[in-house]
Amino acid sequence: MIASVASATLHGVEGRPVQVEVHISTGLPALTVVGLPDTAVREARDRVRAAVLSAGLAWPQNRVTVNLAPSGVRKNGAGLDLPIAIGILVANNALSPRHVERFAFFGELGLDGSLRAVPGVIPMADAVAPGQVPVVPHASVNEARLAAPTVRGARTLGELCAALTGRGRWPDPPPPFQLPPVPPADLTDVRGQWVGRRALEVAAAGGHHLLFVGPPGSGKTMLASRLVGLLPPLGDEEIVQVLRVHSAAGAPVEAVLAGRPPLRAPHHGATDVALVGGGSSWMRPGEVSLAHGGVLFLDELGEFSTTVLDALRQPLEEGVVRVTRARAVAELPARFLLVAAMNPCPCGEGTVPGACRCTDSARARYERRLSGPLLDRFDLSVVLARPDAGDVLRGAPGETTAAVAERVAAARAVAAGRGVRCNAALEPEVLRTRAPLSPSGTALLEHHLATGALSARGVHRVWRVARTVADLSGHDGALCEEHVAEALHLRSARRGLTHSDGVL
Amino acid sequence: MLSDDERAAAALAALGVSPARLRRLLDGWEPVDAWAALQTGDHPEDGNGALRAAARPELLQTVARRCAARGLFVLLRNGPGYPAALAQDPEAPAVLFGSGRPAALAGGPAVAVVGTRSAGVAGRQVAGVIGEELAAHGVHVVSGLALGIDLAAHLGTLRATGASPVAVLGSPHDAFMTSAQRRVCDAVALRGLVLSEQAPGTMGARWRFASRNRIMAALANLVVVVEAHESGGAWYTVRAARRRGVPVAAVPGSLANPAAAGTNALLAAGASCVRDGADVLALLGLSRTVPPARRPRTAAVHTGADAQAVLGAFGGEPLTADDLARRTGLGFAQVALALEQLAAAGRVRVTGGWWERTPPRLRSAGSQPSATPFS
Repeated sequence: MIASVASATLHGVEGRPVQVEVHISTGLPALTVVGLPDTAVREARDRVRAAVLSAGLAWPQNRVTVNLAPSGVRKNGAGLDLPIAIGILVANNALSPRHVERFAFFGELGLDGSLRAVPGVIPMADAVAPGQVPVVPHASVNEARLAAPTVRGARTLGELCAALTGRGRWPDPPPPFQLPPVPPADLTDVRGQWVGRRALEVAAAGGHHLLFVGPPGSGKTMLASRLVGLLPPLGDEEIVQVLRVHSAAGAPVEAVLAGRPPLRAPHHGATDVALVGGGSSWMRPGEVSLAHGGVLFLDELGEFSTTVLDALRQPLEEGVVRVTRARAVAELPARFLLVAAMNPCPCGEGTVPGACRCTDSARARYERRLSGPLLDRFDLSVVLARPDAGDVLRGAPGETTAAVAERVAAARAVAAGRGVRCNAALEPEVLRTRAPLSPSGTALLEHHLATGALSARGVHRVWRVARTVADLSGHDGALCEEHVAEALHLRSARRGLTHSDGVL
Repeated sequence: MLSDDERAAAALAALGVSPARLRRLLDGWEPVDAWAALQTGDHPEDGNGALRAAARPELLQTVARRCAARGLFVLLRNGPGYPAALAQDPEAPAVLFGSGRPAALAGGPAVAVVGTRSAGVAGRQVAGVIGEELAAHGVHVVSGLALGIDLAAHLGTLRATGASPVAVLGSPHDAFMTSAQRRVCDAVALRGLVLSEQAPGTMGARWRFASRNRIMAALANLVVVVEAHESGGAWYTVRAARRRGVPVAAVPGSLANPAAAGTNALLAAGASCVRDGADVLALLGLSRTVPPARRPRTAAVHTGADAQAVLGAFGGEPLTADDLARRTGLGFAQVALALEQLAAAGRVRVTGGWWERTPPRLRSAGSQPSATPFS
């Protein structure tokens, strides 16, 4: 007997259709799975057999061969458990082929016959042929509905067989997603720290990557975690992209549905594959892709390994990650706002003149870990000091996130009028025509160029930030001295700071 | 080319033993004989034979080649060219590796200018001014080429024409240095003398830096501490100077500056107070004959009321823009503009986001180019 059941497997953030073919022939009882299965798929044999028997259904006492077509594509994950089980039941005459021909199945099986959720339901449901209805574990129904108009769900294999044959009815779908409440982290909790707050506002408005330099306890993490609240909500197209990435990585999708930009904060022990994505078969999206449309926060930037940091440069430049392996290539979206925090030197006190007690070589080593090209991507780099005790205890609450977000939205609308997503994407030619400098602004930039404090590329970065500063204050004329001065200050952390102590 | 004695002494130094043990190894021996005795196991200082194992014959050629590659000469304690001030010192190094002119220390007094590596703008400027004025008046400036005060002092001497500078390294000549240190080191070797008691190719060690400070103290007629923390390397120089009866002078600093705590403590304990080159010259019994160098001033930059308020908010300590906004009550944008104007006028300087007011007496030309442009 032979049977064929539709399913899909995950490749990066894309689903690839898979046809599960089952053949039962005479021979000693055995189950073979062919067609480039990975370990999880190969282990499906034992789960499927236990689940079928637990559901009270017959297991074929013959030789069973399962082929996963197309056989050139690597199959991964436990999501193929369910289609394999269904295929065996059809081949064993427990189900009729016409019961299953309109459906595509995804799901992991428990030994007791229960159906468990698997990652990547959205891209996999996207990949099924038109006219086919995805059948998923009950817990994944809401997620699958985001990709397909009609979705069927079941809790157990027995319940599913009953519904397919018409002996029982499909269970009611679960209640729709409850959108989680707005995150409590509000900018109003931050007392003092004007420079840090201002840097957050400018970063959100202009899409400028931001680096905080400061000793432990200066509020770097507190500030960075409040940046997502300032970003405008995701657009419809972005929501679809972000949903696919989150689903493919098995991350919760509820917050994305609310349009909230994601915040990812990987630990500094992260490997380069964890950060940019990859793996040998699955091509799981990495942290940069999970941060797509939102914020990637790298705390303790100096503790990340250099290979990990250098792997960030290409996605920062292009907004996508191209993961290339011997067997497969995947392109994952990765356009994010990078916020990083670091200590100025190993002892943490390095920026305050006269306070650092590190050895020369320790400081030099620490600075060498961060490659120039990566540090160059930060339009904003500000020094944070430990907050003033008076501010913390008695200071007035700061502006709320909502108030700042309003200014950010207005500034982004102005930037959109220049034909770019945000000011950080302004090309030098566009800067010249659409964001002109006043004579006093030009003079200030020229002074810094002449003294060697600013490189030619640095000038354009300051220029873009100055445009964002002006947009935030509702100034639409040529950029004045004060806008350029503020932009210069918002990148002052690296000014005059090298391990040579700035003496030469 | 090194003589046989010099090669043997260099090879003995390359064993990496402590200065005291190296002295004992060479005490009463010709270096060639000491080396030979070590090879045969007849040297009484090498009781357990550990050095005999390390003293491989090819070490002679290796060290000679490393010296030649760096153009180093070898000075023996009782040999020609060895600094006279050092020869009688009880802790004098038995072997010195030098580059530059061996006779650079002859003629004129020597002053060690030392201080912390993490110095503020004010400290570095004072060190530079003192270095420049001393050199111009024929005083050799001895320093350690560490970042911060040491480097600033030697940079000052290189600006003047006069007595040759002397650097004493705490590491071998070919050890790692930052690019700024390497440039100054090469310039000092060109004009004067760079010494190290460690053979090229040997491992550096932290204690070597503290140990090196005794050489600076022994070479100097006066030790000037420009900025020092309450503990740190400069104190080794101060203690070494006191043991030798070399007078110590210190530059006063703000009480709010952690890098001036050590120098202020020295002053409280009775060290002479120096503010510039003239004060140091007076302690040496000299008087200023060359007027202090005049620095070009930048064109006056318009500074408004905000800039005056920001300038007035500075104490003696480094501040962030946040601090200045709190103290003046101005907005961030106004503080930023005021600081830009003040920086252009040379009234303030920034190091990694921390602002300092330039000391009025030492105010230099506008914004000096920093070591590496921030790009």
